[in-house]
Amino acid sequence: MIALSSISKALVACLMSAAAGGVAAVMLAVQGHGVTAALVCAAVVANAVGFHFLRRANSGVAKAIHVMEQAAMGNLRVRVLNIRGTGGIGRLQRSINRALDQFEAFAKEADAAMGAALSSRYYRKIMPRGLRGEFVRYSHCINETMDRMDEQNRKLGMFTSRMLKDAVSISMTVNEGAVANAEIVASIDQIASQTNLLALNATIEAARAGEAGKGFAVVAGEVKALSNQTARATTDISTRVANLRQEMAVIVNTMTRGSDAIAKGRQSMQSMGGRMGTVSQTVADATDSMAEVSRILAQQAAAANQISGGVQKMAHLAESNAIAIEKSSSALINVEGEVAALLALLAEQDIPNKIIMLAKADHVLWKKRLVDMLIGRTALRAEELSSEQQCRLGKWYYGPGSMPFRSHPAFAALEEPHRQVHREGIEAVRAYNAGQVEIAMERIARVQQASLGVLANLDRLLEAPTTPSAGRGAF
Amino acid sequence: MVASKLLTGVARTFGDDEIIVSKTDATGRITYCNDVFIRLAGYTESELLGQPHSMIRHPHMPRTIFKLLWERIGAGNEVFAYVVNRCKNGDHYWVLAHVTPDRDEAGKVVGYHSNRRTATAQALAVIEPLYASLRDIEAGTADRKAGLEAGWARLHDILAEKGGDYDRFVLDI
Repeated sequence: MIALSSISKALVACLMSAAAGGVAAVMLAVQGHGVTAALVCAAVVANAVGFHFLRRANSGVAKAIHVMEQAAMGNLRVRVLNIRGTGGIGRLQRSINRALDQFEAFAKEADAAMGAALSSRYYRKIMPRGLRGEFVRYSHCINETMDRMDEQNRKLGMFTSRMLKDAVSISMTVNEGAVANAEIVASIDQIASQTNLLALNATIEAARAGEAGKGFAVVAGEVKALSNQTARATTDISTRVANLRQEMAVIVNTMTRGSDAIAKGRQSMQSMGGRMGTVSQTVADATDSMAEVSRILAQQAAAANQISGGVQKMAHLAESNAIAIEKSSSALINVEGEVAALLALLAEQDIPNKIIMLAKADHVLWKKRLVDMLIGRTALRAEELSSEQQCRLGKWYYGPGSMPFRSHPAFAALEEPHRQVHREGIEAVRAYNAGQVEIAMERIARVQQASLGVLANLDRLLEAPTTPSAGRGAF
Repeated sequence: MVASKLLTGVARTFGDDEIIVSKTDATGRITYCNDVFIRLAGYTESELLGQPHSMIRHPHMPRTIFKLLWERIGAGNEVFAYVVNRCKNGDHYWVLAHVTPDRDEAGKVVGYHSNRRTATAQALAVIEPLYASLRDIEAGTADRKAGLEAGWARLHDILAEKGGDYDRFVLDI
């Protein structure tokens, strides 16, 4: 049984009433009631007119129902067409169309705006003009969200480009650092092997000095052990630095390629973050190793200094002056204490001061070459010895690396003894080569004297607080 | 023909909270127009249904803009364009038209939908001289096709000056 609407029921009633009226009119006409029959006929006609309008209303309502049923299924494209009249049914149909116009306009706008947001075109917002009521409110809400997304996106973009810039600059610094590192590592290696020789030399001298040289032999052994340790540490540093460079190259490459990928998603950012973590760990490791080397270097410099002084004195006095040997061996007893003091000092120092430590070590080695010449281990020519401006200390002193120290009084005081060390050293070689051994030894004694001034002033500089820029400058 | 080209120079307006809506089938024949459309265009619904949308086309519209419009919609994209339409009696009204393809449940384009909103005076201050210049360029050659190409080139030159993005340009003014 089909459920009939009120209009359909009215239509049925109209039909029945018209039929009954028609029959009544015929019967009345047959019975000769002409006037009454005419009246009943008029009623039938009026009924037919009513039937016509009812049917029209019914079809209007049916159209509205059809459209609304489709709309209820989510089809917003449908509309009521061929709307007639301005009565209730017409108004109903127009209202349905207006509502669907609003629904569809909002849906299309939201769809377009969201699609645009997907491709980062945040300027394509919902156009609230023409929309009404709650649609306007929803539009503003979505547009506000898009503004926020735009802002976030901008920030992300800025962050990305900044990160990329940082990565490139870090990579450049790492490369520069690595080059500097390689140089340092090379000189540390050199020092280590020379120290090894020095230790051997010292052992021989200690044996020659007999009982008085026993403590000295212990120190020589320790120096040898230290130089081996240094060699191991330098290998470790080289490996770490190489790894670091490789890692940085990968990152810069990834970041350059991935900058638009980053705009699309955060996943690559996260993996990048992890990668950056690895790098900072590698940097930290390398820094630790550098600190370790720096520490070993300091011990070595101190020990080498002592040994050098001892060897020099022994070379000078070995055969005739037992008291002098005793003096030098008693000086060596203090080595351990001095090394400990230096260690404590270095613990507070930044790695940048390494350059001064290196200069110190160089300086000692420079002196050692003179001693080596005196005891006949090597032949030297005056031209082989660098001037005070060409040695590592000199390059640092007259170069930009020393900028942060220049206001320190020890800095000015350092120049004269340093110059003297070189001048007297070169003169000593000239004298030695001319066969004037006595004069050469006198000169070397002056070198030693001036050298004390150099080392003392360097120690004062090491105590001076350094500015952060000194850190970068030195590395 | 003369009567259909008659222009009164009278501008009609509608409310900022109203949208003129029309739909066409895939060939551009009107399948729906809302009451705002009917009120402004001055035609009855039955006069409009089944007719090509170009029946409200105003002779002052540059062909370049319609070429752009159809190029975009043809590619399945939405497009915004400032359009001047002609009423039955020769009056006109400016709109900011937003045209999108209408798709069925399977995603097939079954027609086109246009929502038209009021055009701000600020936007028209940019658009009217632009369209006038495009129209002059289009009319500058005897050959219609060459005229359209010249207008097309001019529009793209102007867009290039303004950053190259038509959508941005039309939404920002």
